[in-house]
Amino acid sequence: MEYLLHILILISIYVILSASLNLVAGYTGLVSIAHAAFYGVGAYVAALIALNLHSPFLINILCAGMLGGLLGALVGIPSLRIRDDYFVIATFAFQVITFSILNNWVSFTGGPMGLPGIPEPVIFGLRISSHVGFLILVGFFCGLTLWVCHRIVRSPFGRVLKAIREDEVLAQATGKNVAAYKVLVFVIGAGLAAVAGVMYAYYISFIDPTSFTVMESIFIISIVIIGGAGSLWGPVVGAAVLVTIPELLRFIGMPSSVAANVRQILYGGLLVVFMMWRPQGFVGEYTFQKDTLQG
Amino acid sequence: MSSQVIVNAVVAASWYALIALGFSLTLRTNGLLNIAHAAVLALSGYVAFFLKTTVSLPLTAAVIFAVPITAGIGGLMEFAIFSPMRRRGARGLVLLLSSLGLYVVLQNILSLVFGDDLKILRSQRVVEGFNVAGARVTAIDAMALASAVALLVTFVLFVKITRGGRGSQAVSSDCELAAVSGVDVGRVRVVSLCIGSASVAVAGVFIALDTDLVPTMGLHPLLMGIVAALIGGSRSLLGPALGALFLAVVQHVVLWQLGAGWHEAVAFVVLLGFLLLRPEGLLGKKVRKSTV
Repeated sequence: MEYLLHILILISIYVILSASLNLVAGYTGLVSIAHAAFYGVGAYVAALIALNLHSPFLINILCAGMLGGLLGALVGIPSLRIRDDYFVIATFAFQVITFSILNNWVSFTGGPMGLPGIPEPVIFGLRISSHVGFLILVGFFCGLTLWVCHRIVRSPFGRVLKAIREDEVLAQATGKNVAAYKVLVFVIGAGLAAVAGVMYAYYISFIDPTSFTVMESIFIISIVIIGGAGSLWGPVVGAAVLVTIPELLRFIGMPSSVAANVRQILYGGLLVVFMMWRPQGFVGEYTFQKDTLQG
Repeated sequence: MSSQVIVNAVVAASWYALIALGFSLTLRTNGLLNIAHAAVLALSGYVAFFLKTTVSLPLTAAVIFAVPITAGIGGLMEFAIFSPMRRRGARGLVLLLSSLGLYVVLQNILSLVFGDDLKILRSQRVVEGFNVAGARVTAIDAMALASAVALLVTFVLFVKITRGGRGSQAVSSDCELAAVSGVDVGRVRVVSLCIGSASVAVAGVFIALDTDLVPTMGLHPLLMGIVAALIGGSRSLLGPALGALFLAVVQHVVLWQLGAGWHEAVAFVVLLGFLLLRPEGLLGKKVRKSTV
């Protein structure tokens, strides 16, 4: 039972991550492989202020979300001036560098040793320590994220995002400030990823840089693509499939040292297979093709 | 300035340049920002390691054989994956995302086969190196520099003189026009990914000799190569090499003044600066091709 709850909590965290990336990559067409960096920044900010200032959970989540968003703006404003595939490279660079800072700035982040002993969250005097409690907490934020995404994509703002994805020049020609829209959606995505990081830090109560590598970023974009980019339920489907399948490896008796690699080979392979035969994923609508526009 | 700083920068520049060369060739001819080059880089080191320990070849032979084997695997990627995808109409982003998937698969195969622990390729003890104008230069450094220069010259000659090289230039400037003029576009692309992988593989072997092997060793060097290629101008022939020199000098001067730890941050700031102020790179032309 504990195990099942653990899987459900993990799925919820990945739904927050992939739904927020879906806003950026699936709806706006900006593929980013820096999502694990924002996820990590959220986790580290929450952990550091919880450990050093003993501030309450809700304040921490607010701080982490805002800092994540601010960092998103710092990365987004310069990188969004360039073309799609170069944007991917800029986010790739940001991801590699964030990891190396988390790993090397030992006095501040604990380096490879990580930050142990993150306290249990207390919300309105209620201490959350059981798996059920965490599932309710993470599930709440997961639902909130999906609701925010739903509101965004159904709004005029969301329609502009889709227009940018389909034809940037046309969107600009109709008088939309394309750059501002892109930066704003990137900031929202980064902030939500940081919130997922806070959830993760409190749930595991120990964080180290290995949870926020390039591999993790590729995993999150794989969830978006395999689930279906540009669809509200795509990330939910993708997270459920990609988090559950590797757990099945455990049941067929694969030793855990091998299973970690096989798991990554599995989703890397799936990513290639889906890009080749079904780039819109299970339920998505965006195929990452821009035939009409290559500037 | 201390002469050691200059020597270190030039040595770093030589392997940045090799990677940048491979990356930008693949970008121009195959239309692909190939992240899987990071796995190619690690692969060449591991192939050399395998040839040396399991097949028990001498180190020099192992290193020399590792490069063509890795290049072949690079060509196979184009043949088996990217080319079928292109036939289905895949362009830039789709190819880039599949190269991410390929990187994940290859890197994990390396982990499965060789394990995640550090492997050592060099056979002799670390030697002090010789003294050049007050700076220490190891034999590996000297060889890295020599092969970078040699490869660069060969590469330019290849592109300018041979039919295949001119074919690759034609494909990169307009692949449809090249096809109707009788260039076998598919073949040119396979060859170009072979050569691109070979260039990255040479860098991989030198990095493996210098700092030992782990399956994830390719990411950081690839990032430096990409930054060098982009700031040098990935559309030009010699731009990536110039970008490599520029990046390495800036990094090592900052390293010398501020201390270690700022290495990657410097690369990122340089990249962002160029993307903002001179997106076409040092030697790039300001022409933007439009295929609407």
